[in-house]
Amino acid sequence: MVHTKLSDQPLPALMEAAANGDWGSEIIFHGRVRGAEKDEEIVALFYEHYEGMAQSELAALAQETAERFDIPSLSCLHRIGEVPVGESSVRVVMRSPHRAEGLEALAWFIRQLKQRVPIWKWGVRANGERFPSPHCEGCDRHEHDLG
Amino acid sequence: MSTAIHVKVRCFSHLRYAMGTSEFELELTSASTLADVAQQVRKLGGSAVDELPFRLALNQVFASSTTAVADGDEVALIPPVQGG
Repeated sequence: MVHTKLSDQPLPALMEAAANGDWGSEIIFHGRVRGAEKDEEIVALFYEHYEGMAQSELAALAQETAERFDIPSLSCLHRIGEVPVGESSVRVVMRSPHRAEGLEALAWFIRQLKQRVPIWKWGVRANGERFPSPHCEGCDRHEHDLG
Repeated sequence: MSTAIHVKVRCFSHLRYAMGTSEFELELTSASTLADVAQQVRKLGGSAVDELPFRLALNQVFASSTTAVADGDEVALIPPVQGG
């Protein structure tokens, strides 16, 4: 079971999953907005996305992850638009028989998301101005595809 | 005989900032590829886009620079993504 969604609304409250005797592991990851972008103070991040392709790439990535790591339940919600500092921008919930495959799948999924799902960050200053987030200093380490 | 085709070019993030627009139309010859689109974009953007890396997507799917483009296609310039 794979579920993905982009939304311009705050993430909904987490719901307790229905009891399932096959899932020994449930891993929940939240990515949150920090108060600075490359040393510049911000009040929010604005998430730009390529309508259509962002949704299809995210869905394809989730399906690929589930098949590659044999994950029976994977959910990813990613916010778009403005996300205030401190709030969650992304939630991933990975449920699997054992924690090992879940942890491995989560790390791979997040790394791939940052390489191929067309979503970009803009910093938002206190006066409302937006500036494109600088490219990641750790691009090599994070294996970002630079075209 | 080579005829003219028109493609819609979409720009995002740093490229949108550098090009000053989120989309524009480009006229090309009918035998053009994505590499030709990229070359035209770099020519139009000049020094503002010289150092900006990007991948190319054709009609919402990543594609190689040798892929042919057709009249009415949508080409997206995809700078390094930053989701999460």
